[in-house]
Amino acid sequence: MKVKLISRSTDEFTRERSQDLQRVFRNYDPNLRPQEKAVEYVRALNAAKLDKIFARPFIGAMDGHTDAISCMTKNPNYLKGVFSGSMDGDIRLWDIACRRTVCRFPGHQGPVKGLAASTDGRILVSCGHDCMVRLWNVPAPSILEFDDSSDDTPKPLVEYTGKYAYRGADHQWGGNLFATAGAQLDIWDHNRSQPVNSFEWGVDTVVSVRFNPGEPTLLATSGSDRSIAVYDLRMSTPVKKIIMQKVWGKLYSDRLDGVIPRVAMYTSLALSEFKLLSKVGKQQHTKTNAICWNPLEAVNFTAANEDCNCYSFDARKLSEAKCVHQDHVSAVMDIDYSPTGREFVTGSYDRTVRIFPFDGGHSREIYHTKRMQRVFCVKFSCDATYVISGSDDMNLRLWKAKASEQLGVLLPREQKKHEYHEAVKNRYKHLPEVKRIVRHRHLPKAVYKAKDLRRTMTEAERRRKERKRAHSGPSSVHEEPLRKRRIIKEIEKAEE
Amino acid sequence: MASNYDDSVPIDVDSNGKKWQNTVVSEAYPESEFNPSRVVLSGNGEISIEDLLDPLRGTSNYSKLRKRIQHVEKKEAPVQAPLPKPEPSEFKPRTDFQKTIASLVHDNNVVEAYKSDGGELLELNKLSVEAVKDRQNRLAKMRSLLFRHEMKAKHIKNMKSKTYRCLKKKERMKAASLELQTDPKAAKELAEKQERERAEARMALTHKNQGKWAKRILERGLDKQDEGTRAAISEQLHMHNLLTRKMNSMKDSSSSDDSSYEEDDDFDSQDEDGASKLLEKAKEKTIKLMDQEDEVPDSGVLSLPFMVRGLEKRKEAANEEAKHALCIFFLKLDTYIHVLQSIEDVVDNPGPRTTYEVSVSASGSWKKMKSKGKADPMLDGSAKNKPGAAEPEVDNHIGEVEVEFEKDKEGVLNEENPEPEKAPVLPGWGQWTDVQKKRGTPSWMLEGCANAKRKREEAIKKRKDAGLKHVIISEKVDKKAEKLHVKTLPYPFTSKEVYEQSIRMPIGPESNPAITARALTRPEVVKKAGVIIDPIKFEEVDPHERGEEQKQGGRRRRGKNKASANKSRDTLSLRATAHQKYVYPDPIPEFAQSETRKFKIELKKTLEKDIDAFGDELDKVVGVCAKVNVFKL
Repeated sequence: MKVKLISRSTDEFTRERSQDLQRVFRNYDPNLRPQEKAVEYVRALNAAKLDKIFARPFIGAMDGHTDAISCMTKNPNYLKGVFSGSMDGDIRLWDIACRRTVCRFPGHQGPVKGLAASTDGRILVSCGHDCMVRLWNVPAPSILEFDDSSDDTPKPLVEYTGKYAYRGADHQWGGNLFATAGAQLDIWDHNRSQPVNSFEWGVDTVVSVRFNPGEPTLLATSGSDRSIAVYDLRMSTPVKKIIMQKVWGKLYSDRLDGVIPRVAMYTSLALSEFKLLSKVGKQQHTKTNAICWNPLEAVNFTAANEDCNCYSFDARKLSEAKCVHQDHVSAVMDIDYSPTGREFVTGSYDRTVRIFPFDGGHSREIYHTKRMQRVFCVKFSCDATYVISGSDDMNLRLWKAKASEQLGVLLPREQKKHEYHEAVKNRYKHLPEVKRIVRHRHLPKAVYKAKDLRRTMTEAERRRKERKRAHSGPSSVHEEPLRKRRIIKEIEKAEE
Repeated sequence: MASNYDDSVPIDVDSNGKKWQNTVVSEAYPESEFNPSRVVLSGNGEISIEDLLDPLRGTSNYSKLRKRIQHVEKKEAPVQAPLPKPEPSEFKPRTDFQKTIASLVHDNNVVEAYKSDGGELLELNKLSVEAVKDRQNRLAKMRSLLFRHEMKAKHIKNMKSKTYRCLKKKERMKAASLELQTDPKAAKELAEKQERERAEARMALTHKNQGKWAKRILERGLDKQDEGTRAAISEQLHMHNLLTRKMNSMKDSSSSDDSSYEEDDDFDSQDEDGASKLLEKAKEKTIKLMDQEDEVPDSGVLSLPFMVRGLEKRKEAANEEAKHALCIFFLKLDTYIHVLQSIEDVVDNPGPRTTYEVSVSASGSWKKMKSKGKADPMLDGSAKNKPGAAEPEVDNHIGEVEVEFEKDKEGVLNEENPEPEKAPVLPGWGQWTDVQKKRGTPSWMLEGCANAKRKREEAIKKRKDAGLKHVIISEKVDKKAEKLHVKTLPYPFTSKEVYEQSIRMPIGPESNPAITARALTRPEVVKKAGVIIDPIKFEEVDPHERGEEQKQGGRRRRGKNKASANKSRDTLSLRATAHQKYVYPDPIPEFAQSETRKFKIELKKTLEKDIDAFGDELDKVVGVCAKVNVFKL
C-alpha cells in the first residue's frame, strides 16, 4: 500500500530572518473556491467605499499673489517649478513641493496673459495686456534650493514691445521658437528682436495658442471669432480652421455680464477691449478659451469652449469633433492634458476643476472648495500625479490627480494591493452598487442647480426636436449629432 | 289616629338611594266634616248614600229626602221589556219588481230542483261539464305540484354537501377500521366475506357484459334503456374495471407467457405462411415489451392516486400510439412480403392482398381481430372498448388538479402583486361626531383604493402568464440578486456572453499564480511618482521591421508601462507616418510567372487587332510590356 506523504524540505521552509515571509503554497483549482467571484464582488464594493473614504484630493493652497491668477505654466524640466502670472502683472515661480514662492519676476504693468517656459526650463516667456513680451532667465533649481532668500530680483533678459495687447503665449517643444497671440499670431525666435513670422487670418483676436508637443512645427490657435485654426510653420500660410456656431443662450450671458466690468477695472486697455467684446459679447458663446494637444497622440487636441463643453478634435479632420466632453455648467476657461495622454484637467468659470478621460463624455472627478472662485488656469504636473489650479481668489491650489491615491513610497505588497483593488473595481464597475458609490460626488449647490437647469433645458430641446421630427415628412428633418452641431464650417487655406 | 298615620307613612327610597321619612304628615286639605274620612280615601270603604246624606242632617228637607229614599229602596219598580223586531218571513212583495222576483224565486221547478240536486242548478248556471272538469283537474294538478314541492323541499333539506358526505364517509370508514382493528374476529369475517364476493363475481362473470340480459341490452342500445338499466350496466362496467385493474397489477410474466403460447398455437393453425408467422411473433414480443408495467414508486408525489392514474393513462395512450405505428409498419411489411410472393406466383394473385392483424386490449387479454381494408380499426376499436365508467373518474381527477393549480396560480399572483388594502375603517374614528358615519369613508381613501386595485389589475394583465391558463411564470424580483445584475449591456461589450466571459474568472492572488495575477491586475497606466513623462516624439520607422515590432508589440507595451517614461517615448511612434512608408511585399515567384504569362497572352490578343501598326515587332512590344520591374524604395 502506498501512502502519500507531505514532504517538505526544511531548507525551503525555514525563514532566514524573522522578518521573512512564510512560503505559502496554494491550490488554484477553481472547484475549491466556488465563491471566489462573489468574494471579489464584495472586495470591489469595499474598494469603492475605501476610495470614498480616502478621497482627500486637496493638498494645499499657495497664496501670495495680490490679484486673480490669469495664467500658469509648468517648467517642463523641473517637476517642482510652476510659474504663475496674475492680473496685476506679477509673475511668480513656485516650488510646489514646499508650496512657497521661490522667485518673483516684476515688470509687467497690466495683466500677464501669456506665460511659457522653454523645454530645458531655462527661459521664461511672458506677455500681457501692456503690449510687452519679456524673456526671463529662470534661476537654476540648485541655486534656489540653497539660498531661498535671494535678494536680487531677476531682470528680464530681453523686452519687446508690440503694437497690441497679448492674450497668450506658448513655447515650442524642444526648439527655439515661441508664439504669442494677440491681434495676430506672432512666431518669435529667442535670438531675434522681431517676430520671425506673423499670421493673420480673419480680423479677430487670437485668444490662445498652443504648440504640438509631438510635431514641433504644428500649432493650434483659437480666436475670438469662434474659430479654431491649425498652423504649420513650414508653410507660410495657415493650414485650416473651423468656425463654430453662434449660440444664443441665457445661461452663458451671465458670465459676460459679471466678468466684463470687473476685469475691465484693471487696465484701460483691457477696458477698451472688453468694451469691444461686450458689444459683440453675446455672440461669442462658442468661443474657444484654450486648446491643448494630447501629448501622446500627436494629431489630437481638445478645445475648452465657452459653451461649457470641451471638444476633442483630430487635426486632420476638423469638420467633426471626435468627442464632446460635457459636465461643466459654465464656460471652460483652461485645459491641460495629463502627460500620460489618458485624461485632461479643465478649470471652469463655475468654480470647479474637473478631470475627464480623453475619450469619455463625462468627467471622472470634480474638485471644488468653498473658497475657490472662478478658475482661470489649470495644469497637470509633469509626472501626472498632481493638478494645479489658479483662480480668481489669488491662490494656486494643489490637488491630487487621483483623489484617493496613497502618496509616498509604497511597499511592493501595498502597491499590489492597490492594483488589485483598482482592477477589481474596474471589473465590477458596471454593477449598480459599485457604480453608484464610484460615481457619487458632492456638488456645490450652485453647480447642482445649474446642472439641473441645464438638464431641463436640453431635455426640453430634445423633446421639441423629437416632436418636430414626428410631425414632418420622413427624412426632411436632419438631426445632427452634438459632435457636428456646433461646427459651422471647415475652411482650408487653399480654398480661399 | 296617630298610630294609623304612622302605619301609613310611606318609606320611599329615592333614586339617589337616600332614604327619607316623613314623620309628620299634614292633610292636604283642611279637616272638615264634608271631607271624606281617611278610611274612605284610602279606599277601604265605599261611599254610601248615608255618607252623602250625613252632612245634610239637621236641614229642613232632610227628613223628606230620607223618606223618599227609603221609599225608593223598599218599592221595586218593574223594568219594561224591549220593543219587538219585525219578522222577515212576513215580507210581502209590494212593488211590481218585487213581485216578479218573488214569482221567479218561488217557482216550483226551481224549488224542487234546489231541493233534489244542485247539479241541475249548474246547468242553469250555464257552466259546462268540461269547464268543471278542467277546474277539478287544475286543482288536482296544483295539489300534486304542492306535494311535489314539499317533497323536494324535504329532499333538499336532507341534502348534504359533498365534503359533508366525504367527512361522513371517512368517519364511517374510520369507525369500521377501528372496529376491525379491535375485533380480529370481525376482521377475519369481513375478509372472508369480501373474498367470497370477489370469487363469486369472477365466477359469475356478471361484470363482463356477456350474460344473456346484458347482451340483449347492448344489442338494443344503451340509449334506449331506462335509467335503472343503464345504472346497472355502468355498475357492471365499473366492477369489471376494478377487477381488471386488480388483475393487471397482480399479473406476472409467467401467465402472460402462457397466453402468448396459446396464441401462437392459434396462429399456427391459421397461417401457413412462415414469414408472416415470424412477423407475428416479433409483433407479439414488441407488444409484450410495451405492455410491461413500469414499477411505480411506493412513496413520493408519483405514488399519489391521481398521479398514478394520470401516468397510467399517459402510458396507455403511448401504447396505443405505438401499437398503431406498429400496425402500419407490419402492414407495410406484409404488403412487401405479399408483393414478393406475387412475383413468385404471378398468375394466381391478381393483386396484393392486404391483411393485417390488430390486437386490441380488452378485458385484460389480447384479443385478435382480423380485418381488411385501409380503415383504421385500431382507433375505432380502442374508442369502442374504452371503459365508459373510468372516464368521468379521470375527468374528475383532472378537474381536481386543475382547481388545485388555479389555486396555486392565484396564490402566486397574490404574492407577487399583493391585493391592495381596503379603505381602513378606524374604529371610533369620527363616530362621536357622527361625521364619518354620515359622509362615509373619505373620498380620497376610496380613490386611493380604486387606483391601487386598477394598478393591480393592470399589472396582472401585463404579466407574461396572463394569457396562459396552465402556466405560472414567476416575475418575482429578487432584490438581492438584482444588485448583481447590470441593467443594460455595458458600453464596449456587444454581447451578453462576451461580457459574462470577461468577468467569469477571478483575478485575485488567491485563485491565480503570482505572475498571472500580476498580469491580470496590472493597471492601464503605470507611472512613477516624481518622474517627468515626456510627450511623444516623431521618429522615422523602418517599415521592414514592422513584423518584428508587431511581434514584440504586446511585450513592449507592457514594458512601457512598467518602465519609466523615457522608455515609453522610444516605443510609441506616429502611426500615420509609418503607414505612408508601407511597401508591398514581392509576390511568390511561381505565382508571378503564371500571372505574367497570362498578361502576355491577353496583351498579344488585344494588340493583334492593330497588327498593321506593330507588324513584326509585336512580340517584342509584348515582351517589353511584360517585363518585371522591381522598384526598390
